Amino acid sequence: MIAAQEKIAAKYGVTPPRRPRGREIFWLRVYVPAYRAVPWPVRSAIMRRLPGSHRMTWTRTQRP
Amino acid sequence: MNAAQRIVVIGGGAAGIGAAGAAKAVDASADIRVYTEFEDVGYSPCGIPYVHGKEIPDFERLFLATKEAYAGQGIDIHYETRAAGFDTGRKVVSVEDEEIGYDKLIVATGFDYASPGVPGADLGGLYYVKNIRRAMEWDKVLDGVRSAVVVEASPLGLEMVTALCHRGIQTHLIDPGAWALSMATDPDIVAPVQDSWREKGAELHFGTTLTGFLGDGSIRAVATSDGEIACDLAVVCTKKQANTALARAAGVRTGSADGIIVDERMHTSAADVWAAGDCIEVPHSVTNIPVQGLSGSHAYAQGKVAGTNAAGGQRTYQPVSVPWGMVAGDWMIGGVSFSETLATALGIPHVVGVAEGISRARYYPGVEKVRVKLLAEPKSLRLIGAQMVGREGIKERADFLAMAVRTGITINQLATMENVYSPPIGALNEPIALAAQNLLSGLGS
Repeated sequence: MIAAQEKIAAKYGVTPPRRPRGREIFWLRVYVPAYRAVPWPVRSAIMRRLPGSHRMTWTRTQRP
Repeated sequence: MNAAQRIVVIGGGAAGIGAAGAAKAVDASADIRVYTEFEDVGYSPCGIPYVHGKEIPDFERLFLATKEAYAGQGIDIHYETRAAGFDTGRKVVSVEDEEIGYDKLIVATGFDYASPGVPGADLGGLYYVKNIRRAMEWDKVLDGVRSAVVVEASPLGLEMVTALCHRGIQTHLIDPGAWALSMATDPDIVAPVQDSWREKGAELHFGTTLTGFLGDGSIRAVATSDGEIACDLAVVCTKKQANTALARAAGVRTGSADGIIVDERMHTSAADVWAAGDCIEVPHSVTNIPVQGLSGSHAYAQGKVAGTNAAGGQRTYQPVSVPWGMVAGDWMIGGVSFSETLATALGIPHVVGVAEGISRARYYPGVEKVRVKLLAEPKSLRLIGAQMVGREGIKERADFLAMAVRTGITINQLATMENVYSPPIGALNEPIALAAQNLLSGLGS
Protein backbone atom coordinates (compact mmCIF):
# COMPACT_ATOMS: atom_id res chain seq x y z
CA MET A 1 0.00 0.00 0.00
CA ILE A 2 2.85 2.39 0.77
CA ALA A 3 4.25 1.96 -2.73
CA ALA A 4 0.79 2.55 -4.24
CA GLN A 5 0.26 5.61 -2.03
CA GLU A 6 3.61 7.02 -3.19
CA LYS A 7 2.54 6.67 -6.81
CA ILE A 8 -0.96 8.12 -6.31
CA ALA A 9 0.33 10.94 -4.07
CA ALA A 10 2.75 11.97 -6.83
CA LYS A 11 -0.05 11.92 -9.40
CA TYR A 12 -2.30 14.21 -7.34
CA GLY A 13 0.48 16.35 -5.85
CA VAL A 14 -0.27 15.55 -2.23
CA THR A 15 1.97 14.65 0.69
CA PRO A 16 3.42 11.17 0.13
CA PRO A 17 3.38 8.48 2.82
CA ARG A 18 6.11 8.62 5.43
CA ARG A 19 9.49 7.15 4.54
CA PRO A 20 9.68 3.38 5.06
CA ARG A 21 11.32 2.11 8.20
CA GLY A 22 12.85 -1.22 9.25
CA ARG A 23 11.34 -4.20 7.51
CA GLU A 24 9.18 -1.93 5.34
CA ILE A 25 12.31 -1.08 3.36
CA PHE A 26 12.67 -4.73 2.31
CA TRP A 27 9.03 -4.95 1.26
CA LEU A 28 9.21 -1.70 -0.70
CA ARG A 29 12.56 -2.20 -2.37
CA VAL A 30 12.49 -5.97 -3.00
CA TYR A 31 8.96 -7.38 -2.75
CA VAL A 32 7.04 -4.60 -4.54
CA PRO A 33 9.20 -4.57 -7.70
CA ALA A 34 9.06 -8.36 -7.83
CA TYR A 35 5.27 -8.32 -7.30
CA ARG A 36 4.81 -5.72 -10.04
CA ALA A 37 6.94 -7.72 -12.45
CA VAL A 38 4.41 -10.54 -12.42
CA PRO A 39 1.48 -9.90 -14.80
CA TRP A 40 -1.94 -9.48 -13.17
CA PRO A 41 -3.44 -12.63 -14.75
CA VAL A 42 -0.66 -14.69 -13.17
CA ARG A 43 -0.93 -12.96 -9.78
CA SER A 44 -4.69 -13.28 -9.89
CA ALA A 45 -4.48 -16.98 -10.71
CA ILE A 46 -2.12 -17.56 -7.77
CA MET A 47 -4.41 -15.70 -5.39
CA ARG A 48 -7.39 -17.67 -6.60
CA ARG A 49 -5.61 -20.91 -5.81
CA LEU A 50 -5.38 -19.99 -2.14
CA PRO A 51 -8.00 -21.56 0.13
CA GLY A 52 -11.14 -19.51 0.63
CA SER A 53 -14.83 -18.98 -0.02
CA HIS A 54 -14.10 -18.20 -3.69
CA ARG A 55 -13.27 -21.86 -4.27
CA MET A 56 -16.70 -22.97 -3.13
CA THR A 57 -19.83 -22.90 -5.32
CA TRP A 58 -20.67 -19.34 -6.42
CA THR A 59 -22.36 -17.83 -9.44
CA ARG A 60 -19.91 -16.71 -12.10
CA THR A 61 -18.33 -13.30 -11.58
CA GLN A 62 -16.61 -10.90 -13.96
CA ARG A 63 -12.84 -10.80 -13.82
CA PRO A 64 -10.42 -8.19 -15.18
CA MET B 1 -45.27 -36.67 13.89
CA ASN B 2 -41.69 -35.35 13.60
CA ALA B 3 -40.29 -33.14 16.33
CA ALA B 4 -39.63 -29.53 15.38
CA GLN B 5 -36.10 -28.98 14.13
CA ARG B 6 -33.85 -26.95 16.39
CA ILE B 7 -31.81 -24.19 14.83
CA VAL B 8 -29.20 -22.60 17.07
CA VAL B 9 -27.71 -19.21 16.20
CA ILE B 10 -24.51 -18.02 17.87
CA GLY B 11 -24.48 -14.23 17.82
CA GLY B 12 -27.19 -11.58 18.00
CA GLY B 13 -25.90 -8.96 15.59
CA ALA B 14 -27.30 -8.14 12.16
CA ALA B 15 -26.35 -11.56 10.72
CA GLY B 16 -27.60 -13.57 13.69
CA ILE B 17 -30.94 -11.79 13.96
CA GLY B 18 -31.37 -11.81 10.18
CA ALA B 19 -30.74 -15.55 10.19
CA ALA B 20 -33.14 -16.24 13.06
CA GLY B 21 -35.94 -14.23 11.44
CA ALA B 22 -35.44 -15.82 8.02
CA ALA B 23 -35.36 -19.32 9.51
CA LYS B 24 -38.61 -18.67 11.35
CA ALA B 25 -40.20 -17.39 8.14
CA VAL B 26 -39.30 -20.63 6.33
CA ASP B 27 -40.18 -23.02 9.14
CA ALA B 28 -42.61 -21.49 11.63
CA SER B 29 -42.52 -24.65 13.74
CA ALA B 30 -38.73 -24.59 14.17
CA ASP B 31 -37.26 -24.23 17.66
CA ILE B 32 -34.98 -21.24 17.08
CA ARG B 33 -32.51 -20.26 19.80
CA VAL B 34 -30.12 -17.32 19.66
CA TYR B 35 -27.20 -17.08 22.08
CA THR B 36 -25.55 -13.71 22.59
CA GLU B 37 -22.97 -12.62 25.15
CA PHE B 38 -24.46 -9.12 25.17
CA GLU B 39 -27.48 -7.54 26.85
CA ASP B 40 -29.26 -6.67 23.61
CA VAL B 41 -29.79 -7.79 20.03
CA GLY B 42 -31.20 -6.20 16.94
CA TYR B 43 -29.86 -2.67 17.16
CA SER B 44 -27.78 -0.59 14.79
CA PRO B 45 -24.21 -0.25 16.08
CA CYS B 46 -23.50 1.81 12.95
CA GLY B 47 -25.69 4.55 14.45
CA ILE B 48 -23.58 4.91 17.60
CA PRO B 49 -21.19 7.60 16.23
CA TYR B 50 -24.18 9.74 15.27
CA VAL B 51 -25.59 9.64 18.81
CA HIS B 52 -22.16 10.64 20.09
CA GLY B 53 -22.19 13.48 17.55
CA LYS B 54 -25.69 14.54 18.69
CA GLU B 55 -27.21 14.09 15.24
CA ILE B 56 -29.41 11.37 16.78
CA PRO B 57 -30.89 12.41 20.13
CA ASP B 58 -30.78 9.07 21.96
CA PHE B 59 -29.61 5.47 21.76
CA GLU B 60 -33.11 4.02 22.06
CA ARG B 61 -33.79 4.95 18.44
CA LEU B 62 -31.09 2.51 17.32
CA PHE B 63 -33.08 -0.52 18.44
CA LEU B 64 -35.01 -2.25 15.68
CA ALA B 65 -37.40 -4.17 17.92
CA THR B 66 -38.10 -4.88 21.57
CA LYS B 67 -37.15 -8.08 23.34
CA GLU B 68 -40.86 -8.85 23.61
CA ALA B 69 -41.23 -8.56 19.85
CA TYR B 70 -38.60 -11.25 19.25
CA ALA B 71 -40.23 -13.47 21.85
CA GLY B 72 -43.57 -12.87 20.16
CA GLN B 73 -42.09 -14.08 16.86
CA GLY B 74 -41.09 -17.32 18.55
CA ILE B 75 -37.37 -16.57 18.59
CA ASP B 76 -35.87 -17.68 21.89
CA ILE B 77 -33.01 -15.28 22.61
CA HIS B 78 -30.62 -16.04 25.47
CA TYR B 79 -29.02 -12.75 26.50
CA GLU B 80 -25.67 -12.45 28.26
CA THR B 81 -25.07 -16.12 27.49
CA ARG B 82 -21.74 -16.87 25.91
CA ALA B 83 -21.38 -19.91 23.69
CA ALA B 84 -18.09 -21.54 24.65
CA GLY B 85 -17.82 -23.87 21.68
CA PHE B 86 -19.55 -26.38 19.48
CA ASP B 87 -19.03 -29.95 18.38
CA THR B 88 -20.05 -30.68 14.81
CA GLY B 89 -19.81 -34.44 15.34
CA ARG B 90 -22.19 -34.63 18.29
CA LYS B 91 -24.11 -31.56 17.05
CA VAL B 92 -24.06 -29.71 20.36
CA VAL B 93 -23.23 -26.15 21.43
CA SER B 94 -21.59 -25.66 24.83
CA VAL B 95 -23.34 -22.88 26.67
CA GLU B 96 -22.24 -22.14 30.22
CA ASP B 97 -22.66 -25.45 32.10
CA GLU B 98 -24.78 -27.30 29.61
CA GLU B 99 -24.78 -28.63 26.10
CA ILE B 100 -27.55 -27.66 23.70
CA GLY B 101 -28.25 -30.04 20.86
CA TYR B 102 -28.92 -28.67 17.40
CA ASP B 103 -30.18 -29.88 14.06
CA LYS B 104 -28.76 -26.85 12.25
CA LEU B 105 -26.23 -24.34 13.51
CA ILE B 106 -25.64 -20.79 12.29
CA VAL B 107 -22.39 -19.11 13.32
CA ALA B 108 -22.66 -15.32 13.39
CA THR B 109 -19.89 -14.44 15.80
CA GLY B 110 -19.02 -11.11 14.17
CA PHE B 111 -15.72 -9.32 14.52
CA ASP B 112 -13.16 -8.05 17.00
CA TYR B 113 -11.03 -4.97 16.52
CA ALA B 114 -7.43 -5.78 15.68
CA SER B 115 -5.26 -5.36 18.73
CA PRO B 116 -3.30 -2.10 18.61
CA GLY B 117 -0.32 -4.25 19.65
CA VAL B 118 1.32 -1.53 21.73
CA PRO B 119 2.01 -1.02 25.46
CA GLY B 120 -0.76 0.52 27.54
CA ALA B 121 -3.63 -1.18 25.75
CA ASP B 122 -5.10 -2.13 29.15
CA LEU B 123 -5.41 1.47 30.38
CA GLY B 124 -8.73 3.05 31.14
CA GLY B 125 -9.96 5.62 28.67
CA LEU B 126 -9.60 3.42 25.59
CA TYR B 127 -12.91 3.23 23.76
CA TYR B 128 -13.76 0.47 21.29
CA VAL B 129 -17.07 1.38 19.63
CA LYS B 130 -19.15 -1.78 19.43
CA ASN B 131 -21.65 -2.54 22.20
CA ILE B 132 -24.55 -0.16 22.68
CA ARG B 133 -24.63 -0.41 26.51
CA ARG B 134 -20.97 0.52 26.68
CA ALA B 135 -21.62 3.31 24.18
CA MET B 136 -24.31 4.70 26.48
CA GLU B 137 -21.76 4.79 29.31
CA TRP B 138 -19.07 6.32 27.10
CA ASP B 139 -21.49 8.97 25.89
CA LYS B 140 -21.68 10.31 29.46
CA VAL B 141 -17.89 10.22 29.67
CA LEU B 142 -17.66 12.29 26.49
CA ASP B 143 -19.37 15.18 28.32
CA GLY B 144 -16.18 15.60 30.36
CA VAL B 145 -13.63 14.91 27.61
CA ARG B 146 -11.64 17.90 26.35
CA SER B 147 -9.20 16.15 24.04
CA ALA B 148 -9.46 12.83 22.22
CA VAL B 149 -7.29 10.84 19.84
CA VAL B 150 -8.87 8.66 17.17
CA VAL B 151 -6.54 5.81 16.29
CA GLU B 152 -6.68 4.95 12.58
CA ALA B 153 -8.65 6.57 9.79
CA SER B 154 -10.87 3.54 9.13
CA PRO B 155 -14.54 4.05 8.18
CA LEU B 156 -15.43 4.12 11.89
CA GLY B 157 -12.49 6.43 12.53
CA LEU B 158 -13.84 8.92 9.99
CA GLU B 159 -17.27 8.83 11.61
CA MET B 160 -15.83 9.26 15.08
CA VAL B 161 -13.61 12.21 14.09
CA THR B 162 -16.71 13.89 12.68
CA ALA B 163 -18.77 13.03 15.77
CA LEU B 164 -16.17 14.26 18.26
CA CYS B 165 -15.76 17.51 16.31
CA HIS B 166 -19.53 17.98 16.42
CA ARG B 167 -19.31 17.38 20.15
CA GLY B 168 -16.84 20.24 20.51
CA ILE B 169 -14.00 17.96 21.60
CA GLN B 170 -10.44 18.78 20.53
CA THR B 171 -9.85 15.84 18.21
CA HIS B 172 -6.65 14.33 16.85
CA LEU B 173 -6.55 11.63 14.19
CA ILE B 174 -3.47 9.46 13.83
CA ASP B 175 -2.96 7.05 10.94
CA PRO B 176 0.11 5.50 9.30
CA GLY B 177 -1.37 6.13 5.85
CA ALA B 178 -0.80 9.25 3.79
CA TRP B 179 -4.46 10.32 3.89
CA ALA B 180 -7.71 9.26 5.51
CA LEU B 181 -9.12 5.87 4.54
CA SER B 182 -6.10 5.33 2.35
CA MET B 183 -6.88 1.62 1.95
CA ALA B 184 -10.22 2.38 0.29
CA THR B 185 -10.07 5.82 -1.25
CA ASP B 186 -7.89 8.32 -3.07
CA PRO B 187 -6.41 11.64 -1.92
CA ASP B 188 -8.41 13.79 -4.34
CA ILE B 189 -11.65 12.26 -3.07
CA VAL B 190 -10.94 12.60 0.63
CA ALA B 191 -9.23 16.02 0.49
CA PRO B 192 -12.46 18.04 1.03
CA VAL B 193 -13.27 15.88 4.05
CA GLN B 194 -9.87 16.52 5.59
CA ASP B 195 -10.18 20.25 4.92
CA SER B 196 -13.57 20.35 6.63
CA TRP B 197 -12.20 18.53 9.67
CA ARG B 198 -9.39 21.06 9.94
CA GLU B 199 -11.95 23.87 9.73
CA LYS B 200 -13.67 22.27 12.73
CA GLY B 201 -10.41 22.30 14.66
CA ALA B 202 -9.31 18.69 14.23
CA GLU B 203 -5.60 17.96 14.00
CA LEU B 204 -4.70 15.28 11.47
CA HIS B 205 -1.49 13.28 11.89
CA PHE B 206 -0.95 11.16 8.78
CA GLY B 207 2.16 9.06 8.31
CA THR B 208 2.04 8.63 12.06
CA THR B 209 2.29 5.28 13.80
CA LEU B 210 0.87 4.48 17.21
CA THR B 211 3.61 3.33 19.59
CA GLY B 212 1.77 3.22 22.94
CA PHE B 213 -0.88 4.49 25.30
CA LEU B 214 0.53 6.42 28.25
CA GLY B 215 -0.97 6.94 31.69
CA ASP B 216 -1.28 5.62 35.20
CA GLY B 217 -4.49 3.61 35.35
CA SER B 218 -6.18 5.87 32.85
CA ILE B 219 -4.87 7.34 29.62
CA ARG B 220 -3.16 10.74 29.66
CA ALA B 221 -1.49 10.67 26.23
CA VAL B 222 -0.99 8.66 23.09
CA ALA B 223 2.60 7.94 22.08
CA THR B 224 3.30 8.06 18.36
CA SER B 225 6.22 7.92 15.96
CA ASP B 226 6.05 11.73 15.90
CA GLY B 227 5.77 12.36 19.63
CA GLU B 228 3.14 12.37 22.36
CA ILE B 229 -0.40 13.71 22.05
CA ALA B 230 -2.07 14.54 25.37
CA CYS B 231 -5.66 13.32 25.61
CA ASP B 232 -8.42 12.21 27.97
CA LEU B 233 -9.69 9.52 25.65
CA ALA B 234 -8.52 7.33 22.76
CA VAL B 235 -11.03 5.85 20.34
CA VAL B 236 -9.48 2.72 18.85
CA CYS B 237 -10.76 2.21 15.29
CA THR B 238 -8.44 -0.53 14.06
CA LYS B 239 -9.34 -3.08 11.39
CA LYS B 240 -12.31 -5.39 11.90
CA GLN B 241 -11.03 -8.96 12.19
CA ALA B 242 -13.29 -11.94 11.75
CA ASN B 243 -14.10 -13.59 15.08
CA THR B 244 -13.56 -17.19 14.07
CA ALA B 245 -12.26 -18.63 17.35
CA LEU B 246 -15.22 -20.95 17.97
CA ALA B 247 -15.38 -22.05 14.35
CA ARG B 248 -11.65 -22.80 14.17
CA ALA B 249 -11.77 -24.71 17.45
CA ALA B 250 -14.59 -26.82 16.01
CA GLY B 251 -12.59 -27.58 12.87
CA VAL B 252 -14.59 -25.37 10.52
CA ARG B 253 -12.33 -24.21 7.69
CA THR B 254 -11.22 -20.61 7.31
CA GLY B 255 -9.75 -18.98 4.19
CA SER B 256 -7.07 -16.64 2.97
CA ALA B 257 -8.97 -13.56 4.17
CA ASP B 258 -9.15 -15.14 7.65
CA GLY B 259 -12.93 -15.54 7.51
CA ILE B 260 -14.99 -18.71 7.70
CA ILE B 261 -15.22 -20.33 4.27
CA VAL B 262 -18.78 -20.45 2.94
CA ASP B 263 -20.49 -21.19 -0.36
CA GLU B 264 -23.23 -19.14 -1.98
CA ARG B 265 -25.77 -20.70 0.40
CA MET B 266 -23.63 -19.60 3.40
CA HIS B 267 -22.89 -23.24 4.19
CA THR B 268 -19.52 -23.93 5.83
CA SER B 269 -17.17 -26.88 5.51
CA ALA B 270 -19.02 -28.65 8.35
CA ALA B 271 -22.28 -30.55 7.87
CA ASP B 272 -25.37 -28.62 8.98
CA VAL B 273 -23.31 -25.56 9.94
CA TRP B 274 -23.94 -22.21 8.24
CA ALA B 275 -22.21 -18.88 8.88
CA ALA B 276 -22.86 -15.22 8.07
CA GLY B 277 -21.70 -11.69 8.75
CA ASP B 278 -18.34 -10.30 9.76
CA CYS B 279 -16.97 -13.75 10.70
CA ILE B 280 -17.07 -15.03 7.10
CA GLU B 281 -15.32 -14.19 3.84
CA VAL B 282 -17.03 -13.90 0.46
CA PRO B 283 -15.61 -13.53 -3.05
CA HIS B 284 -15.28 -10.13 -4.69
CA SER B 285 -17.29 -9.89 -7.91
CA VAL B 286 -14.40 -8.44 -9.95
CA THR B 287 -11.33 -10.30 -8.73
CA ASN B 288 -12.94 -13.45 -7.29
CA ILE B 289 -10.57 -12.99 -4.35
CA PRO B 290 -12.23 -13.32 -0.93
CA VAL B 291 -12.91 -10.23 1.18
CA GLN B 292 -14.00 -9.90 4.79
CA GLY B 293 -15.28 -7.18 7.13
CA LEU B 294 -18.09 -5.58 5.12
CA SER B 295 -21.13 -3.54 6.15
CA GLY B 296 -24.16 -4.21 8.33
CA SER B 297 -26.33 -4.55 5.23
CA HIS B 298 -24.04 -7.28 3.91
CA ALA B 299 -24.21 -9.07 7.28
CA TYR B 300 -28.00 -8.87 7.45
CA ALA B 301 -28.44 -10.13 3.88
CA GLN B 302 -25.99 -12.99 4.49
CA GLY B 303 -27.85 -13.85 7.69
CA LYS B 304 -31.12 -14.10 5.80
CA VAL B 305 -29.51 -16.44 3.26
CA ALA B 306 -28.02 -18.61 6.02
CA GLY B 307 -31.29 -18.73 7.98
CA THR B 308 -33.40 -19.54 4.96
CA ASN B 309 -31.17 -22.42 3.88
CA ALA B 310 -30.64 -23.76 7.40
CA ALA B 311 -34.41 -23.98 7.83
CA GLY B 312 -34.84 -25.90 4.60
CA GLY B 313 -35.44 -23.13 2.07
CA GLN B 314 -33.42 -22.08 -0.97
CA ARG B 315 -31.60 -18.77 -1.22
CA THR B 316 -28.22 -17.78 -2.60
CA TYR B 317 -25.86 -14.87 -2.05
CA GLN B 318 -23.90 -13.11 -4.76
CA PRO B 319 -20.20 -12.20 -4.88
CA VAL B 320 -19.84 -8.64 -3.60
CA SER B 321 -18.97 -5.36 -5.33
CA VAL B 322 -18.86 -3.54 -1.98
CA PRO B 323 -20.66 -0.24 -2.46
CA TRP B 324 -19.85 2.07 0.42
CA GLY B 325 -20.58 5.60 1.50
CA MET B 326 -20.57 7.81 4.54
CA VAL B 327 -20.83 11.32 5.84
CA ALA B 328 -17.40 12.54 6.90
CA GLY B 329 -16.79 16.12 7.95
CA ASP B 330 -19.14 18.25 5.86
CA TRP B 331 -19.07 15.84 2.92
CA MET B 332 -20.43 12.57 1.64
CA ILE B 333 -17.88 10.20 0.19
CA GLY B 334 -18.45 6.81 -1.32
CA GLY B 335 -17.49 4.34 -3.95
CA VAL B 336 -17.58 0.82 -5.27
CA SER B 337 -14.95 -1.91 -5.38
CA PHE B 338 -11.58 -0.39 -6.17
CA SER B 339 -10.05 3.00 -5.61
CA GLU B 340 -7.15 4.03 -7.79
CA THR B 341 -4.86 3.45 -4.82
CA LEU B 342 -6.11 -0.06 -4.11
CA ALA B 343 -6.09 -1.07 -7.77
CA THR B 344 -2.52 0.21 -8.00
CA ALA B 345 -1.51 -1.66 -4.85
CA LEU B 346 -2.96 -4.91 -6.16
CA GLY B 347 -1.47 -4.30 -9.59
CA ILE B 348 -4.85 -4.52 -11.34
CA PRO B 349 -4.59 -2.92 -14.81
CA HIS B 350 -7.01 0.01 -15.05
CA VAL B 351 -7.81 3.27 -16.81
CA VAL B 352 -9.34 6.25 -15.04
CA GLY B 353 -11.89 8.93 -15.90
CA VAL B 354 -12.74 11.85 -13.61
CA ALA B 355 -15.39 14.55 -13.82
CA GLU B 356 -16.70 17.27 -11.58
CA GLY B 357 -20.43 17.69 -12.14
CA ILE B 358 -23.27 19.13 -10.13
CA SER B 359 -26.02 17.60 -8.03
CA ARG B 360 -28.98 19.73 -9.22
CA ALA B 361 -29.68 22.19 -12.00
CA ARG B 362 -26.96 24.84 -11.95
CA TYR B 363 -29.48 27.57 -11.04
CA TYR B 364 -31.32 25.61 -8.34
CA PRO B 365 -30.64 26.59 -4.69
CA GLY B 366 -28.47 24.10 -2.87
CA VAL B 367 -26.66 22.88 -5.97
CA GLU B 368 -23.36 21.23 -5.04
CA LYS B 369 -20.35 19.87 -6.87
CA VAL B 370 -20.09 16.09 -7.29
CA ARG B 371 -16.72 14.60 -8.16
CA VAL B 372 -16.87 11.18 -9.78
CA LYS B 373 -13.95 8.94 -10.64
CA LEU B 374 -14.47 5.74 -12.62
CA LEU B 375 -11.99 2.88 -13.03
CA ALA B 376 -12.28 0.45 -15.91
CA GLU B 377 -10.52 -2.60 -17.26
CA PRO B 378 -8.31 -1.29 -20.11
CA LYS B 379 -9.33 -3.69 -22.90
CA SER B 380 -13.03 -4.36 -22.30
CA LEU B 381 -13.66 -1.00 -20.56
CA ARG B 382 -15.83 -2.83 -18.03
CA LEU B 383 -16.34 -0.77 -14.90
CA ILE B 384 -14.28 -2.15 -11.99
CA GLY B 385 -14.44 0.68 -9.46
CA ALA B 386 -15.64 4.15 -8.60
CA GLN B 387 -14.97 6.93 -6.10
CA MET B 388 -17.13 9.96 -5.34
CA VAL B 389 -17.31 13.00 -3.12
CA GLY B 390 -20.12 15.54 -2.84
CA ARG B 391 -22.79 16.75 -0.49
CA GLU B 392 -25.77 14.77 -1.81
CA GLY B 393 -26.61 11.85 -4.05
CA ILE B 394 -23.48 9.83 -3.28
CA LYS B 395 -25.18 6.77 -1.79
CA GLU B 396 -27.60 6.40 -4.73
CA ARG B 397 -24.78 6.64 -7.24
CA ALA B 398 -22.71 4.09 -5.30
CA ASP B 399 -25.63 1.64 -5.29
CA PHE B 400 -26.17 2.13 -9.03
CA LEU B 401 -22.49 1.73 -9.82
CA ALA B 402 -22.29 -1.43 -7.70
CA MET B 403 -24.94 -2.98 -9.93
CA ALA B 404 -23.01 -1.72 -12.94
CA VAL B 405 -19.87 -3.48 -11.67
CA ARG B 406 -21.77 -6.67 -10.90
CA THR B 407 -23.39 -6.84 -14.32
CA GLY B 408 -20.27 -5.94 -16.29
CA ILE B 409 -21.47 -2.59 -17.65
CA THR B 410 -18.85 -0.77 -19.72
CA ILE B 411 -17.66 2.82 -19.81
CA ASN B 412 -19.18 3.14 -23.30
CA GLN B 413 -22.58 2.30 -21.84
CA LEU B 414 -22.14 4.73 -18.94
CA ALA B 415 -21.02 7.50 -21.30
CA THR B 416 -24.36 7.28 -23.09
CA MET B 417 -26.55 6.54 -20.08
CA GLU B 418 -29.91 8.23 -19.70
CA ASN B 419 -30.40 10.25 -16.55
CA VAL B 420 -33.12 11.97 -14.58
CA TYR B 421 -33.21 15.70 -15.21
CA SER B 422 -35.26 17.66 -12.71
CA PRO B 423 -33.87 20.94 -11.36
CA PRO B 424 -34.23 20.20 -7.62
CA ILE B 425 -32.78 16.68 -7.78
CA GLY B 426 -30.73 16.20 -10.94
CA ALA B 427 -28.63 18.19 -13.38
CA LEU B 428 -28.81 18.15 -17.15
CA ASN B 429 -25.54 16.21 -17.29
CA GLU B 430 -25.11 13.28 -14.94
CA PRO B 431 -21.61 13.36 -13.35
CA ILE B 432 -21.20 9.60 -13.89
CA ALA B 433 -21.77 10.03 -17.62
CA LEU B 434 -19.34 12.96 -17.68
CA ALA B 435 -16.64 10.89 -15.99
CA ALA B 436 -17.19 8.07 -18.50
CA GLN B 437 -17.04 10.50 -21.41
CA ASN B 438 -13.82 11.99 -20.03
CA LEU B 439 -12.33 8.51 -19.72
CA LEU B 440 -13.14 7.79 -23.36
CA SER B 441 -11.76 11.18 -24.41
CA GLY B 442 -8.55 10.36 -22.60
CA LEU B 443 -8.28 7.16 -24.58
CA GLY B 444 -8.87 9.03 -27.83
CA SER B 445 -12.22 7.31 -28.43
